Amino acid sequence: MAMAEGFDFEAALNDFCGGWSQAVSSRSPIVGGRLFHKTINCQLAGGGSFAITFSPQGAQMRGGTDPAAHATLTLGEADWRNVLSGTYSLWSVQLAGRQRPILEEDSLLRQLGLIMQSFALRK
Amino acid sequence: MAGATETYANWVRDLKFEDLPEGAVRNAKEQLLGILGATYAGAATEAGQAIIAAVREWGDREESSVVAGNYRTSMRSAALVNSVSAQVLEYEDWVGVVHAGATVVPVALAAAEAVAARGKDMLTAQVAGNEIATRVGFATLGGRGGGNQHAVHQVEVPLVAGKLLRLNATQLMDAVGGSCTQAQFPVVAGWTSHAKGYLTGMPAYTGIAAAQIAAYGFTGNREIVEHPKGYCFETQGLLYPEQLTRGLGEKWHTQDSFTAKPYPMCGFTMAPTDCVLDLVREHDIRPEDVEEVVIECPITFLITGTMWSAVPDMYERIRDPQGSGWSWIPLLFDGYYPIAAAIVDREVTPRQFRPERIFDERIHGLLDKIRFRHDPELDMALVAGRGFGARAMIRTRRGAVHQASITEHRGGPGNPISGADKFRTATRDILSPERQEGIIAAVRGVDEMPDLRELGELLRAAG
Repeated sequence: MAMAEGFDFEAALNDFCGGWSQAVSSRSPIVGGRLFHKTINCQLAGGGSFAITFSPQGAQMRGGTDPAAHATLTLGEADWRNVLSGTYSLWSVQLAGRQRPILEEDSLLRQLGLIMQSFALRK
Repeated sequence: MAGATETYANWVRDLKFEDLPEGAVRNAKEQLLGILGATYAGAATEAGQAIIAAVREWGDREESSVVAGNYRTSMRSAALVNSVSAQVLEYEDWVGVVHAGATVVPVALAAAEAVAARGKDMLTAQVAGNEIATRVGFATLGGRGGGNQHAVHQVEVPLVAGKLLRLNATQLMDAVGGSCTQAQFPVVAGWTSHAKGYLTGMPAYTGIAAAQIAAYGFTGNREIVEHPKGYCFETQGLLYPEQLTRGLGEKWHTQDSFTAKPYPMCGFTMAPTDCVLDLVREHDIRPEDVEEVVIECPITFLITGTMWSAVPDMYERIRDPQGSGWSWIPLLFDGYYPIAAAIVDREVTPRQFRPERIFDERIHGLLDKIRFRHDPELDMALVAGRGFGARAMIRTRRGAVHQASITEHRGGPGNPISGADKFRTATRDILSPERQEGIIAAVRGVDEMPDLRELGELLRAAG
């Protein structure tokens, strides 16, 4: 799904899922069990949505929104771009007041955001 | 079997100066000097000046000194002001995994002065506070908050104050129960403003009040620390309850894991700052020569170092504090600003967080040249207890590449700094050299001081 110029949301999420699979196979300490067997909807405000399910074997991504997902993360394009490129984390977006987390989902989303930043900036 | 709250009360009540290992006493004095430096530096900021003026107007009973305030106030108010001053430059310390000094020291000083305690008694209470805070920290590590957001202080404060007030064990338990019933959790969104100082100031204030009130028979839950729905659970999550009392009186964290911050900043930023300072000093690198700076770091640095990066007008907000309510405090967590300031000024001290440096064009000219890279090996080192490490690379316009690395930042247990040096740096724009050395000598001899009012008088005077 091509989005605005220079940013392909689906491709960026796919890259992230590839990073997850590499990290779990190398037993990276950053990839904690908190996200294992959890599904998170990643939604572009006013745009597409993908559901990602995380496991110790890898991350499976499919188009659309999973109504049974454990959490939903909706961001604008600029924030998705910056979060997936590691410029800042989801926590930064929250502190800037542009993402209002649901209490029960916040811990999962914070963990996801941390991993996204880690993968994007990995040495 | 006694629970943690009761164990703490009995242990704190019975602890004597003679029980403390030499290393714990030595580090307690280092901690005292470092926190006093941070307190003077913080008191000179707009935040410090405001709270010093406000509390003076309260006109409380004159019990304890406000550092650099030229007045005495109630012990709880003195602890509030001094703790806020010690906190607002993020220039404190930690023991184990807990930022202990900015509560433990102001509380111990204020209570000791109020009751004219001996220096030995103050140091004993200070060490006790570190030991309790550290254990609460380990028991709740990995829970809701980490670093300075790790909520623990409502446990140790009433114990530190209560010991100096000579409460019995039941009163100490009631003091902890009272302090912890209205649990406070740090809201990071507020760490843009002076109110960040309340992170330690408010637990200091309410914890002392709880100790003073418990002395009159006011009860509290005597299992509040370890209770399944108690303070630890409600604030952080009680993940490792066995850690609450592990090694109490046998393993001394004040001796083994005391870490002083050499720079006013988030602890996660210190290792990268060490590396960059080493590079610019060793290779005489000038800001205009810098093409690129790459910092390799653990995830902890990335998290905090970019925490305000999604606020596009951060510097405009800092420039207009009356309009925005913002202050220099976000920059104490920022990963970019201190690195750039280190390259331009070859130091990171309280001076770098004054407006004339924050908006310096040469510093701002470097911000876009700094890149971060996450190295999972540094996460592994951290998890294994080998400390916060980092690497830095500076590439110059002429193509030279300079690299530095550090496995444990300055100030850590294996790479200690001098509390006296920190005090001198922190107070160099505030105190004369004679006053600096007078205070350093007094702290070094505090265990021989018969009455803490002597130290209070020394610290109270401004300038």
